[in-house]
Amino acid sequence: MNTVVEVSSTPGQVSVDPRFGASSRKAKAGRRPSRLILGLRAFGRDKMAVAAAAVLIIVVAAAALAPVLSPYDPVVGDSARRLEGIGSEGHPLGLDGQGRDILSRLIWGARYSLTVAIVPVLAVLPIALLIGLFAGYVQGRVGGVLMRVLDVLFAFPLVLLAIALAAVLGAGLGNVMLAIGISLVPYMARVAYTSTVQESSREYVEAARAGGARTGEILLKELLPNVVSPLLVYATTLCGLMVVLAAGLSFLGVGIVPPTPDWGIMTADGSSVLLEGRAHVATIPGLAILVVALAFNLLGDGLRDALDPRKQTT
Amino acid sequence: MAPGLNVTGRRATLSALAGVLTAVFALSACGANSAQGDADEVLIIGIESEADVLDPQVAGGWVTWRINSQMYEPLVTHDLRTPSEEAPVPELKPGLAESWEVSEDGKEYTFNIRQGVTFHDGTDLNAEAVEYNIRRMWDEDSPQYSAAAAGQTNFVWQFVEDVTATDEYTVVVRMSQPFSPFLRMLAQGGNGSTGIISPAALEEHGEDIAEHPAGTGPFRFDDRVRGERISLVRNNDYWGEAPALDGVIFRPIPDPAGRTSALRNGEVDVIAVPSPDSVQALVDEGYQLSDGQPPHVWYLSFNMRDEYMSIPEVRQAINLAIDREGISDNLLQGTTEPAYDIQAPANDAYVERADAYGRDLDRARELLAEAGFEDGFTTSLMTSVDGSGQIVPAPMAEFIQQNLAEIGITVEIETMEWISYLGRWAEGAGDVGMMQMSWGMDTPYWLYIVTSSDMIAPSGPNVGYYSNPELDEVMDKAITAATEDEATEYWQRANEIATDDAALAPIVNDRAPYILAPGVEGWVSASQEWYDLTGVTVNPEG
Amino acid sequence: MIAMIGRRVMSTLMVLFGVSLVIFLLLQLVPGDPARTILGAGATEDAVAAVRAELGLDQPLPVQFLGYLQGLITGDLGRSLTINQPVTEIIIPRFQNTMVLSAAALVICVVVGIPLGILAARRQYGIFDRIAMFTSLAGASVPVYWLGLMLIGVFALNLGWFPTSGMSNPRNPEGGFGDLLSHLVLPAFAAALVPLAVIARMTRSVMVDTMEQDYIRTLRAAGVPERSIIWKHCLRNAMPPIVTVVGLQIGYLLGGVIFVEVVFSWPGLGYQLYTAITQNDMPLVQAGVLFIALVFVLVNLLADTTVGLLDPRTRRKVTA
Repeated sequence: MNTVVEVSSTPGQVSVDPRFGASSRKAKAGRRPSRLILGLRAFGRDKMAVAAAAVLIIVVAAAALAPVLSPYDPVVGDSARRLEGIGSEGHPLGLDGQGRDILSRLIWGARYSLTVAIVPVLAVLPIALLIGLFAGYVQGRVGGVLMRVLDVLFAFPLVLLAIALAAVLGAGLGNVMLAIGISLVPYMARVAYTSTVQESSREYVEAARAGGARTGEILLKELLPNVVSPLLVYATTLCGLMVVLAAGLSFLGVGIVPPTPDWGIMTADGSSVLLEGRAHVATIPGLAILVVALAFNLLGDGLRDALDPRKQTT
Repeated sequence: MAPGLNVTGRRATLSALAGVLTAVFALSACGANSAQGDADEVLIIGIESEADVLDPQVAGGWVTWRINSQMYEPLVTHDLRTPSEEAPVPELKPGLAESWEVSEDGKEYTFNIRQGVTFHDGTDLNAEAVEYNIRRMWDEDSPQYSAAAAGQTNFVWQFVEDVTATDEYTVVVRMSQPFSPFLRMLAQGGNGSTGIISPAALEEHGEDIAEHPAGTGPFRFDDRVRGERISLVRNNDYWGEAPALDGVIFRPIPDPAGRTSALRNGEVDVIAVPSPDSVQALVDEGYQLSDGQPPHVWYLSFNMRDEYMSIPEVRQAINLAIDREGISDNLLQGTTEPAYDIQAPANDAYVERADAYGRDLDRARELLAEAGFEDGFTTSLMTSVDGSGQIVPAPMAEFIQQNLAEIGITVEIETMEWISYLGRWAEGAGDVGMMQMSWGMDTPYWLYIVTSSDMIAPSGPNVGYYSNPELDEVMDKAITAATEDEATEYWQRANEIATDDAALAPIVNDRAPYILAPGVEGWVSASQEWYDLTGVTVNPEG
Repeated sequence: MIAMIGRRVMSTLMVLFGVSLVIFLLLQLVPGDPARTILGAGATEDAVAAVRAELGLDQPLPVQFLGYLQGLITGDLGRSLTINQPVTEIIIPRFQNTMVLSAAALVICVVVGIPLGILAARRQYGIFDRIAMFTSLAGASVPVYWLGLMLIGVFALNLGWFPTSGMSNPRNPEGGFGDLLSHLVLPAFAAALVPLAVIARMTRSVMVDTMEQDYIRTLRAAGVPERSIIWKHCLRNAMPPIVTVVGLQIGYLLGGVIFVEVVFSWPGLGYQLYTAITQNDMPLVQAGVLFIALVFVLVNLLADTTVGLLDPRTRRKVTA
């Protein structure tokens, strides 16, 4: 899912990302001590983003407390009562095709669906940062080769690459995360690279360079803080997209292995009875995916605005 | 729908994104239901996956043989016009061989080839054509030899020493040893087949024969659009009873919900492999259910190189712990039968053994305790997530997982996409505890294929590395038996041995349900995985 | 200019070479053996070995890869291992089908997404903005296969407006363009959702930035009508990045439509490619991915050129 990121895939070409560009351009960020507070204040004003954060906190809490919260074992079912609908006795959200409690599976599923979305993104973040900073600022031969390699990966559509990798690696939580992670590298590295290139030409970097700062210092002290923020915003949005992509992998049978109560598997399993008057089996986890993906996206928007100095002051 | 698209009733009225779109959308919305087609009576079957190549000797899988068998015929075929209830074991009947004789020592088969038959390309069928085809599958030194065809059909030809056309309509096949399942193996399809192809077409198209099929069957090839359809038309020169239909179209619709939707919307007349949970609803809506008892076993192989699975008591306990009735009746909604023997009821050697395959948790726990595992253990079960004849493998594996949890065995499920799985399966169980497969034949010889010491993976489909000298000996006697009755007796004994030692865990026998639109008549579900369409008619108004 | 094009062609070729190498290495990791796939479950080891030899799979990997490259240079993409047909004959029709679906989806994206973004930007944080952005995001957050089945349920089964699956009605081979369109509406809509959200959001954010620029304020102060400011001056300025994003969406669609293709039984490249990967059908996968990569690169080249023409700054440079 490519993407809410606006980067050029074309070899050797960097297009300006106006969303991040316009904002960070003016940011002498990392210098102003009040930035965090300003950001938080701006974030607090964005009701959608606050709501999204609240939703995600609830989901994370549910995931953490799954053993306490869920009324039944998520992998043990009563086949005599399979496919009972919403509001059936003892099972407020009904039962799935194996007669398992959907509510319990939903709660436990938060663990897997969040893990599969967040872990790869977080794991790739530092890698992407390193590649982006290095290739964008130091450039040189190694940087050029790095970007060429990324160009190659970039020529694969993300979904296709993830599917191919998942098919190659085999099903299972770890493999799915690996597949998603590898597919994300070119995208996230591109964002880091683009903003590094943009930031490198700003006055504050030139000033630091003129002041005799060494490359390492410029990278760490000047560039890093300014490159991290757009990358974080992008990463948040990506988490949302990855929840949906991971579900898609489960649908194709190259995702997480049953009977794991993963939302993607639950939706895929339920799809065969979706039009047979048993819509709840697929729709409930489908909505869970929708809500979480949406929350990540809105949170990403909120973060972006909060990190935008223009909005901080208004 | 897109904003601004405001539709009432059947006629679409658009308040328009753009004028052009308006016209176009309205046009298309009407187009959906107005198609009556011409007067041709064409049956459209929604099938579960894209078919393999239309080269009957090379193609694998039942899905493809169901199509190829409309165009191609072997020397010996089955009577598929008699439903399962009347013929639990499908009768063999003459195909392109009008009759045959077997020598007394069981080593020589003389086939009298049917006269007056022409291939779809106009070539005449004769003994030479048959010999040419057999050599394609068996004779490495012949120019037409195909390694792929030979690989697929090696179970048929493995003992063959020589093939000769002794006169224009006689072919003699000589073998190095008696091989009692030979005739039934000739009629098999699914792992390749012995369907006879026009030698002229083979000469002309070589490897590309699959794009230019030319057989002798009741339907001729018309057109193939990959991923969309394979269409066949009636062979007006068919030697037997010509089909009533003008044509038949096979449409691959891989998603089960997509198949039922296409049927409900009138886009197809028949669907294969309906999702079990849709069957009852479809019947209530007025669709017809046709099912039978093909030789179709959904079974588990135990890994005999695994520390737990190599113990007979453990295997017996697993067999007793699985709730086959629950799987059949609840999970699969009666679209299968519980399997009480390794062999399917659709062959003569079937021996019902409810004592070994019925559910008995107490006995299962006892057996585990005897083996020293009263606290259970952890093992793994590998299965595909879909695939030809696999029913719904993942939910079934989950069901089994829950069953085995009740006797303390923790099962970790490993899944794979079907085709990768087939490759992985053929390599043998490796470090996996159990592996799942759906297979079976109407000849008991199938037991030999999956349990014989000669067939141990990766040199054969005995993927659990099962090896039992006693069983091997009995099966050898069955294979070399002079008469069918004698063979059956040995096969039954072999079944008993395999059951007592819990060589495999048969789970269910598929009933192979098809759902037919109300206007479809004459569809027969015989005891086989494929069907004869010559008696089928379809009334689109029905 | 020519030097620029030459550089781009060179780098495109290098990317394609890299793509091809990556696929080659990747498929080495696919479990199973294509020869085994061809022969099925019952094949003996000898039979598998014979077919492996026939397919050239018994040769060392570098030899296999060089052989493949050699074919590629002479324009021969090889034969599919599993379908036993020249891969171009398999890939091209499939690819066309995927292009038809992607193009239809892209039309929806552009026709709906860009106006949506513009209208939303007109009053940032207004009620329309909120609803439009929320809805488009929600659309992009739904598992497509779930949504696809719901669309089938409502618009095909209940309302009967559209067929449920496939690309044509086999009962009505003369259906022509109308028949194709009726089959196209639902899958195209399902496929459009994610890119639509991206395009709408991008349009909005660029428009917002543009509207805050000084010269727009000057125009406003000069009394130029708002409508003309937005649709003429702002949009012209905002167009380049929007075009870039639209170009990128083609890449997304070419891979992302696979789920749609499965749900709607659309005979496209995505599902064919997926099966080819699982079957370890190297030539088929290579050809399919190379096609996609090539189109992706070309479309982005086209988008960049368009951007160059649209952007007043670059245009000046070109003419100067």
